[in-house]
Amino acid sequence: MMNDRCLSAVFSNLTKAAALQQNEEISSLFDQLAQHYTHDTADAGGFDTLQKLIGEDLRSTYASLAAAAGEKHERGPLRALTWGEKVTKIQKSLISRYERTGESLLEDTEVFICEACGFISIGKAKPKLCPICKAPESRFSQVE
Amino acid sequence: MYASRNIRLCTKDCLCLFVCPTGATDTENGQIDKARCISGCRACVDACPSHAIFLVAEEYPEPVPRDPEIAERLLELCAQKVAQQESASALSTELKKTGGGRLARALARSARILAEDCARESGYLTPQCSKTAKLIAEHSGQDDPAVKELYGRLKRLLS
Repeated sequence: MMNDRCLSAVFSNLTKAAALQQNEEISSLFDQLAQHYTHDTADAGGFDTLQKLIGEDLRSTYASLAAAAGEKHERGPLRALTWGEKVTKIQKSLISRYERTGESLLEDTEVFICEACGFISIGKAKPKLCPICKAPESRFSQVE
Repeated sequence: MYASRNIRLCTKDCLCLFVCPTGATDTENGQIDKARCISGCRACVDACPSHAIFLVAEEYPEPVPRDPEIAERLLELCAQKVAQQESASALSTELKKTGGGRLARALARSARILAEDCARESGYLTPQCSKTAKLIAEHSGQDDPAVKELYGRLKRLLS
């Protein structure tokens, strides 16, 4: 049986897929299932804990999985892994910078996220084009 | 296959109004009236000079099957990304409105998007595909009646 973490992600992705198909009823049902499998963690840890988890993905997971996907000509998974590795590297670099410089990293600046690939941008305005997936400015949201 | 308008692309030349035989494209809210739209007609799609109108499919083909080993490993990565999201999310609650809190919220959302992409590419591509159907069938026997009802309704709507 699939674990709850995967179930929540599969269902929240299908929530978006059904919304794109303009089927609000199906989208809402998937959304409710995604919520059902979403659990809070009691222990936050710190940015260092998060950095460790991210580091594990970058050390071996992406490279070995992308190699396997390439060998099997699985181009969809390869695309997800290519974007995912780049986005994860950005996450890692932002955490490092925050650990080094603290709150000044985010003073007088905004944080934006590409809803298509997860790229995080720090700056005054939304990027015109996502550097990772080339989605347009309209796919960016501001993080409050 | 009914028509839908991307309002961000629409340049308001209104050629869709000239070609629509039912008036479905002429509405006060910028959306095409699905109740009037003739399935598969596409007159407005072809006439639109700004490519702002497209057809929404009602039937979806079975996606090309994924390699089972790759699919399994993508789900493992998906679970790791959700774990990162949970960690970042807890951190964002703790740090509240500080810059660090904002960064943690961005990291949580970013990890979530990566998790969903892994989930999609492991083969759960559309609500209609066989892997999704199998997943729903496997989880239909729920103790919680409210959750059982959600699975039941999805099974009926997607069959």
